[in-house]
Amino acid sequence: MNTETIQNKLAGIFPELQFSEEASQFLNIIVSKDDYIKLAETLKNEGFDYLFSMTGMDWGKELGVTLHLERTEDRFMIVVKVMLEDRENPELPTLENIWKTAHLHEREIYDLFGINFKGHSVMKRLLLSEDWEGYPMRKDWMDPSKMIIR
Amino acid sequence: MEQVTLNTADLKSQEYFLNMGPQHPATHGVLRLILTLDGEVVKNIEPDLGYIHRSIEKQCEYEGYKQIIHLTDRMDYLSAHINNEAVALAIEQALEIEVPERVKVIRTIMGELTRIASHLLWWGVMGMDVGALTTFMYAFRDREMINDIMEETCGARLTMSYSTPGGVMFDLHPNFQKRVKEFIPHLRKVIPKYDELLTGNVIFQKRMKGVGYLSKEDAISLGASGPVARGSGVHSDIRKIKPYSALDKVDFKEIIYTEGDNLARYKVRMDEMLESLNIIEQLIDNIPDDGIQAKTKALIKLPKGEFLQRVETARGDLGVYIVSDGKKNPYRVKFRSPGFSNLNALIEMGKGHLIADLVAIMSTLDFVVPDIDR
Repeated sequence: MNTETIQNKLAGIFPELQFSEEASQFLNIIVSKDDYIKLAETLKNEGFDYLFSMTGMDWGKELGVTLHLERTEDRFMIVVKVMLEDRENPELPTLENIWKTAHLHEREIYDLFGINFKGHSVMKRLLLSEDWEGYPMRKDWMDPSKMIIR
Repeated sequence: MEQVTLNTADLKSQEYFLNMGPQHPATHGVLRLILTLDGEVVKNIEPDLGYIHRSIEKQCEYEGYKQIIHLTDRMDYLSAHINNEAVALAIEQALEIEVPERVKVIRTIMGELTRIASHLLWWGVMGMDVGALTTFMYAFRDREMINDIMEETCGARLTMSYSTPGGVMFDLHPNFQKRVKEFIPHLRKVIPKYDELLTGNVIFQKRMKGVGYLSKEDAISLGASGPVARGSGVHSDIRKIKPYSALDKVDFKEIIYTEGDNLARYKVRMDEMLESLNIIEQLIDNIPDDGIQAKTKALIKLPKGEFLQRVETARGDLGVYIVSDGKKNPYRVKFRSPGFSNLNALIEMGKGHLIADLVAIMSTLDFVVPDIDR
């Protein structure tokens, strides 16, 4: 597998995808919320069986998720990014049924960024206590105790 | 006296919850598992994390790149050196710094010593978890030798912070080579004894064989890495897949077992210790002499972009993902810790086993809770 084959293949199925290799070692695919789950399924069928990591992101204006996906067959890695404009009620479908490792990763992102994963089996806070208010990894989070932001 | 008869038709079996941890001795740290039980059989496991969450990722956003390294010691403290190395490598990759050959060799030797120390501790605790208390004493005796080596050169026994962007903090202590060369034959001699003591023990074998099965497909899908994945036959050693530091210059085997049970994961770690000795042996006599620090600026600023560095810690695939916007501190840092993903495997594997077996399974997953919580 190489960058060109996967890019051509995906561009054929999803005409609205954006591709970029700028300032990254990997092919970056930017997907809309609507195509997200279908793209994930397509990639799984293309042999991307190892969800290396799922990173919650706050780009300032949008919230979102960055996926690092790898084929264990030839260790070829790509990056998938999804951005959500809605900061009040950010929502994404769960990937739990495609890669089982998403189970805990999505709970962590829900906890720290407040992105709600629809269809997840246990959508509860994971690291913070249940009565915690706010989502501390967001950029607009205030640190009243001044423990981290001084 | 009136005869009391028990009508068994009225008795019903009912599932119940049990808290395992956060202060349970077998969870090795503050990991809490909420178990759903049917009698003694585990039906579901729900981990509750965060008892040692320090929000290291958030702290990184407010620290300079040189400071970040010191935070990573406190994640997986048994692989502290390898964590430091991962951040240093990520920064070097971003700044396109070529470090001296001496630094590469030192980092690899230190990394393998760390791995042995971590596996030794695991072995001791593994025995203890299944009721063999002697192993702990032996393992700590040997691990102490590595801690002493580390202390001499790095000034710390556990949280070394020895790697810096572009090099290492201090040069090797004059005793370093001598002491490492004393340690190698010592461990070679004792490991067969340990096999006699624990590995071959019938009770131990019965606790391990066929318990906690993880298929190859599940291991990949659950994001398992390190000895957990390699015990299920997944080729997953980052040292082979993407060699870093001096690992491309040494000849070593990737240990893979395909049984996927407790015993397979156990054997992977036991063999890895010997393989690490092989790596150290190949390097210890040929440490180049071209300095311990590449030129770096006093204030490090990374160019705009995204940088991912993966290393193989004692627990598996650690990823350091830095998003930089060109300022003196990172925009976002993500530590993809092996323990966090391996915890998914525990949820899957533990179902259907007895509580006592869950303890053994957890032990073969080798959790370090600060690595999971970060």
